[in-house]
This record gives sequence, C-alpha cells and structure tokens, in this order.
Amino acid sequence: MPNPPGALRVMWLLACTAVRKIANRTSGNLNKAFNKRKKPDAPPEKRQATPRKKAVSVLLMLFVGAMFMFNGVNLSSQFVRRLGNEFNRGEETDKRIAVRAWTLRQLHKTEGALKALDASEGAPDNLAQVEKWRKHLRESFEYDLRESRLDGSEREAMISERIQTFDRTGAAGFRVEKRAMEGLPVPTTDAWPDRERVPGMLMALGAIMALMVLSVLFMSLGSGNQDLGKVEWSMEWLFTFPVPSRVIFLAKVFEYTLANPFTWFLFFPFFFVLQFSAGFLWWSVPLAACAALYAGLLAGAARVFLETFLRKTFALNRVKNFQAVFTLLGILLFFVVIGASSSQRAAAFAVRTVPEVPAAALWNPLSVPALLCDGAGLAWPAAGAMLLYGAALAGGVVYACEWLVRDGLTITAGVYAGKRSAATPVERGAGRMRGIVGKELRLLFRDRNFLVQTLIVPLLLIGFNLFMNSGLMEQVGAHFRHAAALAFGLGAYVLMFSAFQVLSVESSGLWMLYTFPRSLERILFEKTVLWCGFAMLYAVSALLGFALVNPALDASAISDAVMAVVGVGIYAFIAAGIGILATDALETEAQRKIRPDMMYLYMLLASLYGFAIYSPSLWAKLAQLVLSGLLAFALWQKVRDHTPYLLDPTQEPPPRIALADGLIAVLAFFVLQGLAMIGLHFSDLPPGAQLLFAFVLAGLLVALFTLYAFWRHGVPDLLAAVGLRAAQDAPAGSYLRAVKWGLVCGTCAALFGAFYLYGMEWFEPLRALKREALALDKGMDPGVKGWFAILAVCAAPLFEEYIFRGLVFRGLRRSTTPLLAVLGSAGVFALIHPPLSVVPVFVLGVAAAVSFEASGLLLAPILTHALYNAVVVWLNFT
Amino acid sequence: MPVFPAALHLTKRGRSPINPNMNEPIAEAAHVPPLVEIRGLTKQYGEFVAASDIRLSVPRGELFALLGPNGAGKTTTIRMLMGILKPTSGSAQIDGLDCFADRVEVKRRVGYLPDEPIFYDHLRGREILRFVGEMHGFDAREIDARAKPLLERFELADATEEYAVNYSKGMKKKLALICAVLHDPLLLIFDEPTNGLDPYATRTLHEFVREKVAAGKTVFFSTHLLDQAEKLCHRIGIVYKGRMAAVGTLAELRAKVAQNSSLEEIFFSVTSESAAIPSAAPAQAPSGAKPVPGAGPAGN
Repeated sequence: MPNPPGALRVMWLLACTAVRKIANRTSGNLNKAFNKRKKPDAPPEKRQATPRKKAVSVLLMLFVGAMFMFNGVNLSSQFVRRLGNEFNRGEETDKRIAVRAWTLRQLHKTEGALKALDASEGAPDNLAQVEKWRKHLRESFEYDLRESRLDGSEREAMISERIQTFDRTGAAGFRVEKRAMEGLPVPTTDAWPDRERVPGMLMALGAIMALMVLSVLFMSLGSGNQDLGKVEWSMEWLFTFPVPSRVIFLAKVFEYTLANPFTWFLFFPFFFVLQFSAGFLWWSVPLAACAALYAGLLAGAARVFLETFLRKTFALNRVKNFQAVFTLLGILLFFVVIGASSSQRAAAFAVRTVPEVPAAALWNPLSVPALLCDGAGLAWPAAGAMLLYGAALAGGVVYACEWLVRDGLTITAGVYAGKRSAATPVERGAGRMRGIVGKELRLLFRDRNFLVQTLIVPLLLIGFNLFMNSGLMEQVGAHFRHAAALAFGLGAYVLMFSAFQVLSVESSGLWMLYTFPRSLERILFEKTVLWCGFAMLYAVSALLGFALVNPALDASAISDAVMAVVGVGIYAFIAAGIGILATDALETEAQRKIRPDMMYLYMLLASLYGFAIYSPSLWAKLAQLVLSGLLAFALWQKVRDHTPYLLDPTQEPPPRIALADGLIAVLAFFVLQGLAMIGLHFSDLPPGAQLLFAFVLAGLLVALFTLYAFWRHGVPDLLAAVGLRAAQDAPAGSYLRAVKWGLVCGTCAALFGAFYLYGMEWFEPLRALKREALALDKGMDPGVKGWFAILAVCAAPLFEEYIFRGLVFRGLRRSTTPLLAVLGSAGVFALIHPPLSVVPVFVLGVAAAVSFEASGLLLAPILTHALYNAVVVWLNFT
Repeated sequence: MPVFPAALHLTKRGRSPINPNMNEPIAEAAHVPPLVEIRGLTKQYGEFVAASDIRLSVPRGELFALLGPNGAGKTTTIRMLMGILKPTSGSAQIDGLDCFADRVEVKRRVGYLPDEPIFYDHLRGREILRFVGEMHGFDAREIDARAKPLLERFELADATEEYAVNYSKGMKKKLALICAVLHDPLLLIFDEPTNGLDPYATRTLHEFVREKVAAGKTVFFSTHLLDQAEKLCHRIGIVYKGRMAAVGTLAELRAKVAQNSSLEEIFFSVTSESAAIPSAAPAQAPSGAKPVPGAGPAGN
C-alpha cells in the first residue's frame, strides 16, 4: 500500500482540481455560445467524451481572463485617480492659486519677459511686445481652465482673478496643482497625494478593501455556491480519503484562496494599481500578488469556516435560506463598492469623514494591506501584521473546523426522520393555487435563493442605480417617458431570470411533467403567465411610484405607461419563447443548459422595445406593439412545434411554414429594398425606375431565398403550401375560381378605397394628411408617376402578396382561427404603409386574405391587390 | 396470498412451482384489441439504430416484462410508449391511441415509474403527491383519499413531511410509484421497478403488481433481473441490440430455444448471438387459446 499523501500534496491536488473544474465550466460555456445544433448524423448513444479544452478555447479563456484583468485595472485606476485628486484638492492651507505645471512654466516665462520689457521701456515695439505677452498670459489661463466645468461668466471671473494675482505677486502667487488626468485606464504616480494627505487616502482605501473582501466572501457563499445546499456535500467525499481532517480543511482554505477568480480578477488589479500609484512601480506586480493572496486568504478561510459551521448547525433548508441572505448582502456590498469607486460624491465624502477615524482602525485585518503603501515606514510592520493575521486566521479556522467535525460531519441521524402530521390537512386556506402555478409559487417562496435572484435583485439593481446616480432620479422625475422606460426595463430584467428560465429550471423534474395528461407546451404557458403577472406587477408599481413623484401627467404619459406595461406582458412570452427554444433539455449541467447568445438576443430585443417607448409618434409605438405581439406569437408557434421533440437528441419537428418565417421575410424585404435603393442611387436610372427596380430586386431575392430555404428543409408540397399552385386535393377549376374571388374581393376593396378617399374630406386630421400627400404628389414629376404606377399595379401585388399572404397568413393560419389569421396578416400589412392609407390598406389586407383562403391560390390576392392599387392610383393621379 | 385466477385452470402437472402465470398466456377474447400494440417500431439516430422493428402486443390484464442487457433499447422503447420520443418508423398504440400523436390522452391511461426518479428540491413528499394529483385533475380531498392507503402500504406515511430531495433512493422510488398509480391507470409502465428497493419493499411491490393484474390492469416493465421476470410475468420479451430477440411465455421460449432450460440460460443463449432469433410464433397473444391439460411444458 502506498503511503497516504502529505499535507502539501493534498493542498496542491485540491487546488489543481478546483482550477480544472473552473476551466471545464468556462470552456463549456464558451463552446455553448457557438451553435450547438442537433446533429442528425451523430450517434448519441455511444458515449462521447465531454468536449475537452482545445487549443482554441485555451486561447479564448486567456483572452477572456485578460479582459477581466484589464477591466479590473481600468476601474481601479480611475478610482485611485479620482480619490487621489480629491485628497489633493483637500484643505487648501496653501493660499497660492493652483495651476498646471505647464501653466506655471508659462507664467515664469511671461514674468521674465515682462520684466525685461519693463527695463527696456523706450524700445520701439515695446508696447506691441507687452501686448503679445499679456495675450499669452490670458491664453495660458484659459488653457488652464479648459477642462473645468464652469460656464462662461464664471470662467471669465476666474481668469480675471488670476490675471490680477499675477499683476500683484507675479508667478510667486501660483503653485503647481498636483493633478492626475481623470478617466484614463492606467495607473499613475501623479494620483498619489502629498505626504500629509497619504494617511487619509490609505484610510479611505482601507475602507474599500474591507468592503471588497466582505462582499467577495458573501457572494461566494451565496447563490453561486452550488455545493453548500446540496444533499451530498463534497466534503463527505473528501473525508473518505486517508487524510486527516485538519489537512483537508487547510487544503480547502488554500483552494479557496488560490483557485478563486475573485482573487486574481478583483483583488490583484486593485492592489496593483494602488501600489503602482504609491510609487512601487513594477515591484507592485509581486507585491500585489502577495496582497491579493492575503485578501483571498481572508475570504477563503472565513468561507471554509462558515460552510462547515452552517452545515453542522442547521438543517439543509435553513442553510439555503442563509445562502439567500448572503447573496443579498454580497450584492449590496458589491454595489456599494462599485458605487463608491465610481462616484465623485463618494470621493468627496471620504475626504470629509476620513480625519475623524482613528488611525488604529486601519490595522484591522481586512484593511491592513493598505498600509503597505505607506511611505513613512509603516510598510514593514504592515507586512508583518499581514503574515500574522494570515497565519492566525488560517490556523484558527482549521482548528475550529476540526473541532466542529470532531463528532462527525452531519447532524441528522437519518435523512427521513419526519413526523406524521397530526391531522391530514385537506385544504389549507380556500382558493389555494393548484397545479403547476401552485407548485411554482410554493417553490418560489421556499427556495429563497431563487426568490432573491428573481424578485429582489432587480429591485436592488434599479434602486441602487437611482440612488447612486442622482441625475437619473431627476430625469425620471422630470419626464414621465423615462419613468416608463425604467419600468419596462425593470419588468424585462425580472423576466430574464424567471420567464426565460421556464424550461431550464424544470431540469430534473421534466420527466414528471411528461407523465401528466397535459401537453408540455400548455404547462410552460401557464408558468409564463405566472411570471408575466409578477413582472407586470413590478412594472405597474414602479410606474405608480414614479407617477407620485411626477406631478405633471398628460395624455402622452398615459400612452407611455400603457406601452410599458403591455410591453412587459408581451415580453414575458417573448422571453419564455426564446428561453424554451434556447434550452437544451438533455443537458444535465445547469451552466450549459441555455445558449448564452440567446440571452443577449432577448436583451437586444427588449432594448429595441425600450427605444420605441421614446419615439414621439403614436404610430410608431403602435407598430412596435403589434410587431412585438406577432413576434411572441411566432415564437410560441415554434415552441409548440418543438416541444414534442425536446428530449429527442436528433429529431427535429417536420418542417412547415411558420409565422416566424413570414416576419423575417418582411424584415428582409425592407432591408434589401433600402440597400438596393442605396446601390441603385449611383446608377443613371431615373428615380422612379430606381424605386421600381429596388422593389422588384428585393422582392425577387426574398421570394427566391425563402422558397429555396423551404425546399432545402423539406417542406412538403411547397408550392401548394405557399399558394403558387393548387393543392393536390383541390377541385378542378381552381384557377378560374381564384380569378373570380380575386376580382370580387378586389372590387370590394377598391370601392372602399374610393369611398375612403372621398370620405376623408369630412375628417379634419385625415384631410390634413391628404393635403400633405397631394402636395407631395404634385411635386413628383410625371415620369416618376409612371414608374410608380407600374410598381403599384404590377410589382407590389406580386411580391407583397407572396410575403404577406403566402408566408405570414399561412404561418398564422396554421395555429389559429381563420379570423385571427386574416386580421393579423392584414394588421402587419397595414403597418408598413404610411398612416394616411392605413385603414383602406387594412381592408385590402382583409379582402386579399379572404380571397386567398377561399381559393387557395396566390392568384386571387394578387388580382385583388392589383385591382385596388389600379383604382387608387388612377383616382389619385387624375 | 392473492389467488391467481389463471392458475385455477391449470392441472397440477402444468403448474410451474415458482410462477403459476408462466405456463399460460392470458386468454383473450378474440374481438378485444390488445392494450399495447407495437408494430415495426424503429428509432434511428442518424446511422445508429437504437430500436429496430420491435413487434409486440400486450393484451389487457397481462404482466409483461421486457428483458435485455444495458443499451439494448428497453428505455428507448418505453420512451416511445410514453410519447417522449417520436419513432422513426412504425407505430406504438395504447388503447387504440397513437403514443406520439395522442400522447396527452394516452397519459390518462398510463402510469409511469422511471428508473431514477428525481423530485423538486423544495417540495415535501405530500406536496409532490398533491401536485401530481392536481395535474391529473383530482381535487385535494380525492388525492388524500387515494394516497393514504398507498402511503401506508409502502410505509411512506411517516416521511411525507420531509422534503423529497432528502429521501433515500428506495423512498424516492416508492414515492414515484405512488405518483404513478395515484390516478389508477389502465396500464402501468415501470422502468426497473425494484432497482434500489430493499427486500421488504420488493416483496410489497411484487404483491402490489400481482393485485393490480388480478384486478384487470396491465403491467409492462423493463428489468434485467431474471428471477423477477421468471417469478412474476405472464410473458417476457427479450431485446438485444435494438431488436426483439424473443418473445413469449416461458414455455414458448423453452420450446424455441432449449428444452428444460431456465430463463437465465435462454437469455444468454438468445443474446449472445449477433442476429436475433425470429420469433417462431407471431408476437401476439394466442387469441382464444385455451389451456389444454397436458399440453403444457414438458417439464417444470
């Protein structure tokens, strides 16, 4: 039998294992970001090796690591610069005016020159020279005050004051202001304050350090700690090895110190910047590493102790409650640290309060690394103190933990020591929620971690931003639109961690959902409705809160509010839809279940909607609402298609035309049209022809590409599905019928259009719009009119009907009643037309859809559209 | 000890000492369709074939066991029955309903026990039962009425207040079993039902299953415990490498493979060959076959 490993070896092994775990998890995430499609050719039954790190992902991880490091250095540098400047500004015991070094040099030069000119009074161009130098003086002062945030009159006053001081005392009335440029991401020694002010600076830094270490400690114990709340504690496994418990705990402390990302990406950059600015320059690299390890040791040792203590003292569900509290504390502290380091007010506050804190407070174990930067000889004692504290804490924790587990690792004798409940509770409380919604609510309030993550963190985030950023609160109070956008943002954020995860949280319980006589899609839908309710509640509460603050509410405020709340509702379904489609139900590891790029897609879409809240026109808002609603519908159609195949590793649902395809086609059509117009702009064609050709080109491309894509995917009976050909089972003479229907519906639509054109005269807003349109028409030259007519009667019906009826209508029709499909496709169709013609175009859309549904061939709606356009164009142009 | 109606028809000579069911398939009236009808069921993942041309039918009131080594395709077949996977070709029907297309209706008639049941972290045992019952459409009173005797029988009554995640493996299995039978389904599909159960629980499960069958329910389970199959079931299907290697009662299997052999020997003989033995009799319950005295297996 080989000898059991020594303590050092155990420490090394555990640390390496922890690093390997982190690397696997990170590279897994990065691999996930790249498309993991179902591969129909890959046999899944054969056990494939979990993807190892390839050289590419090592590089990628190094890159990501470097980015984090740079970010840390950036933030710390800015913080130190700002703080240092603030301390330098401090109490002005020196009465001389502070200027930059360059300015002082100019002042000396000017002084010398003016003295020389004084001496040579009678020289010919003396006056001109004096003038020149005085101008130079003024320019120097102007340059000096260039960056100050003063307005014109204040600046003038300061400049004259300086000129007067110069006239009185010469350059002696000025001193160099020690000032580092703010906003640069690199550390600099300029930021370090003068001798007298260093202790104050160190005090402030010590305070930040303490907060950072505590925040890291709490966050590492909080919801990120997967192990703490699990039934099988990883310690139990470690205890099966022939290694004394003391060594295991020491090794754990070592592991948490060394293999902790926070140590390297938070503490190390911070200490590096600090010590560099203090004058250690490149010696600060090893020095910062030591300080970072020390801080990491503090957090790591405390973590080991707390983990052991909690597991020994409390039952598992209580431990999870503690975790929730830790998450909250950790996030709060983290926000405080970020806020303190990025705000001017906090720096000023530090300068004010620091003198009142006794110097001895800096010697507390959390802050003592700050003293390493003390140039007055306290550095060596500080280093000694760090060693002492480190050893004492590590040793103390190890012995304490060993004592805690002296009688075994766990507290309960048997896992199933329960009590039979006194009376069978039939129904506790009337109207208790049943089924899936009841289960969700129960789990939400039991799992405090989840509760905090989903419902409390968004509030913290918004609240913190409002608090730290005083300008934000003012703006929100001033314009209700900002409040609406903020409320929407809050709702969307809540949704990201709740509705988005609707499928992935079911990970282990998914098998149970498959045994119920309910479709999985329906179950997920009910869950989404629940989260929609929560998010809307948050949005409405936020709006009410802001409305109380803001006295001036008008009609546009109402529309903004409605837009925000309805948007949150729609986005609940968009979030759930994207989340479900992006979840890999077969993936067991929680980190890799959701494709991260889909989360970014959701955030992008939500921000686009938020942007739409700001658009001034009611029309654009309505358009955005309708489009978002259709997007939600399209996503759920895809969800419905995909849920029967969720647990199948290779099979995809049978390909069919979906609403999503239609919406993409509409989008592509417009984008291509725009691009084509830009391209054709450089040609010699007349503008009307350009319009026509761009339209035709875009339409052709979209049509051909969509047909090709459908054909590739194997959509059955493609031409009939789209309406280009009669269906197999259609009765004979369908072409004739299509013509009949097309003409009939076209006549109805055209009649309505004509009626509308004349009826517009009776309504003022419409009349105004019509006048505008007519003026535009008169401006057009007849050539363009001709091209436009061709476009309207020949090209537009062809391509627009393919897209809106063939794709959008057919996509909708598959999943909903004919009425809704007609209205939906007509709605989208109407939206893309200018406001003047929305109503008749909507009617046209309805008519075209009806003719399409009745005849099954695109010929019918094309005829309808062509007829309508012909009539309207003729009426307009004559 | 429950009485086996089937056994009453047998003569003494034909009776197997261990399993009275094994000598006789379920006598099925000709016009009643089998509860489970699997025809040509195939599941292919690209080039890899997980299940190929599975043919099987289980009449009502039968206890059917699906035997096979690991990776043989048992779980794939069960998943196709539960509508979790769509077959590449062929069809599976339960009570005349297609398992994939009508899976929601099928679930009303089926109770499923998985091999490794996992439960939600923060729910107690009784809350899980409540949830399952509500999802099947029962109200609280009815759920409690149904669950109580089951909990008593499987000795879980003391543990319902505990979070299910803290249960031992056997207890989780028992809880999942109660969830599966709560709505009194026509067909019970069990995936390795006694895996993780102690001998007492195993015995209780066997008795429970026999009772259900006697009451007219059908039980379909997959296992790799040969003695369990031998003891309990009416018919056995042996799957190997995705194909149905053999199916029938023990008597039929003996007739096909080797006389006087135990199930173990039959199993090894059938699964050691690379090609499956085509089943001599069609894999359907011999309808209307009445037990002929003396026509049972030549030996015990």
